[in-house]
Amino acid sequence: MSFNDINSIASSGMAAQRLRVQLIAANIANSETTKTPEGGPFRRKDAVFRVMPLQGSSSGPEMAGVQVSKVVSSTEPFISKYDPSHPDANAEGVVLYPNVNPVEEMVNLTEASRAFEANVSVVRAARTMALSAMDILRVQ
Amino acid sequence: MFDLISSNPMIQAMDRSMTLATRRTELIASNLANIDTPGYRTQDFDFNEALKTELARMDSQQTSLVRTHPQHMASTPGSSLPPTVDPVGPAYERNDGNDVSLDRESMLLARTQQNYQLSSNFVQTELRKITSMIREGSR
Repeated sequence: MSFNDINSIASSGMAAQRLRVQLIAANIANSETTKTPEGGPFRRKDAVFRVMPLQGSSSGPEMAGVQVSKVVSSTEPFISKYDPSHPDANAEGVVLYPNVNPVEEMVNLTEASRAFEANVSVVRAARTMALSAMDILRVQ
Repeated sequence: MFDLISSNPMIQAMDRSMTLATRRTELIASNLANIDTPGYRTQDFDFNEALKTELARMDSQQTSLVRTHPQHMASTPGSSLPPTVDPVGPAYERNDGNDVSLDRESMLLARTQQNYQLSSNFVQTELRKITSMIREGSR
């Protein structure tokens, strides 16, 4: 049924954007983390989206949701600061800090939340349409 | 009674209009879900043209099909979904090859929703008319 398709497309978009916000939260929380289990400072993470065809839907292939295809770690250089007293400083007294730019994260956060809201408004529109279709039955 | 509702041109036309509006909402949902997908292109169709085609086909089928036996049912013309195109020019493409515009899709979403509600109100009015005819007859 079409309204279910609309809702599943919108919910796939909401799930993808929510995961993106989650990654942004991790980036901001770890913007000063100099030690990770993999060794070295924290690397900025970002989600890559790809088109997800709807399964078991009657509509054509154009109707597609979205899914996160992979989470990539940024390969940008780390920020180095001179701080010999830091336990993670190297022989020259330089500490490598994560390649997280807080301004960039904030902009991405705004973008992700706007995209999430857009998907919510689709769900709202689909609900209003379904209700107005049900209103046809109330002929009295 | 059967003919009053199933062959009512108003109800049939509004049925097509609502089907197309649902289809368009599905495409808008796809576009908005994929607003950050690299390489995704906006998908849409010309609503007015598609509705015109559907109504023209409705008219031609009504005149061309003849029932040669009283027990034949009236034909219900099958509707086909219009092909989708990318209505946004290449100038609006972003660096990641995606050309979905949030403003355009939000505006279309609101407009499509209004179209749908208008059509469903028309159907309701038509059905009310039929009901009141039935009521008056039974008095």
